[in-house]
Amino acid sequence: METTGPIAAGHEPASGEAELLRALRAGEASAAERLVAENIGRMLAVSRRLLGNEADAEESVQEAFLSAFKSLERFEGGSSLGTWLYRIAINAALMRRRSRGRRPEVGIDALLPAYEADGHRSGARRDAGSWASGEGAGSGHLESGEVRERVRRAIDRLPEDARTVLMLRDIEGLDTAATAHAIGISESAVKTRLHRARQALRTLLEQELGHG
Amino acid sequence: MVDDRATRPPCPQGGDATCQQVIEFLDGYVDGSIGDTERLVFEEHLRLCRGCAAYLAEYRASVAMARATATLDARPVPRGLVQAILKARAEADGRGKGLAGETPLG
Repeated sequence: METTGPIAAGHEPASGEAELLRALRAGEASAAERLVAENIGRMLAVSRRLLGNEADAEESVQEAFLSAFKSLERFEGGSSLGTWLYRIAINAALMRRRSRGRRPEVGIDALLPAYEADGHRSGARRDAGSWASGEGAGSGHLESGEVRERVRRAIDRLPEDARTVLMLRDIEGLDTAATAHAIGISESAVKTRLHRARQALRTLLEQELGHG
Repeated sequence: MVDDRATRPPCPQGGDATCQQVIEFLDGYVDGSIGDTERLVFEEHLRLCRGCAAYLAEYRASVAMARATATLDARPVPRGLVQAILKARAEADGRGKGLAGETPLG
């Protein structure tokens, strides 16, 4: 399990964090409880997102913390403890998901735009309508819990590789380098996968929210 | 600039770029990583092509909507999970008693 990554460079732990780290390495139970309590929320959220069910997410987070406790001596302070734990949580969730095997899925090419010989997009709408214009794209749409659930269902329909990159980049907010490191692919591959994932999501949302 | 996208025909001539070129490199336009010359070509095409202007709006909306789903996972931490993790840690360490004078874990 990785202990450091290309996250924040030159991080100097605040005095509070340095003391927490000292206490953790000394085996103080209250320090361990504080570490878990302060970080479990964010770790659980990303695990839920990557694994899609609560039971797997809780087990994955537990594995992440146990791995982190074993690796404390190797923590070099290249990032904050919270960032370090968060990355471990992502790794644990991705490993657990890989161990589950892949579910049958539609290839992403079927969700990408097709083009005519002259470079026009096939099936492009000729009228002025778009599910993303006017009221459809307003803040009311984004704030609706029902809409978010429908968007989540669309995301869940993405092929796994595309879904992972979209979740890490667009939802978790990891940068390209950190995403590449987490998944184990090149930064160029992350950019390509992300663009294809976004295009595919657009297609799915058009089906879910628009006119298809 | 007058927005005449609703009345003009859909992309009869998309400027110096085709719809395919614009869409396939749309990510660079959206994140600002393309050069000034390319950006001008993109913007000319988007001005001329209603279909691609709509596609860009939908692409951006898709990203925004994806980000908005983050709240779906921010549910409370299940009661007892923190203690379950600490207990597992203690068991993994092979320690069942308090450490450094701390209260024994329950």
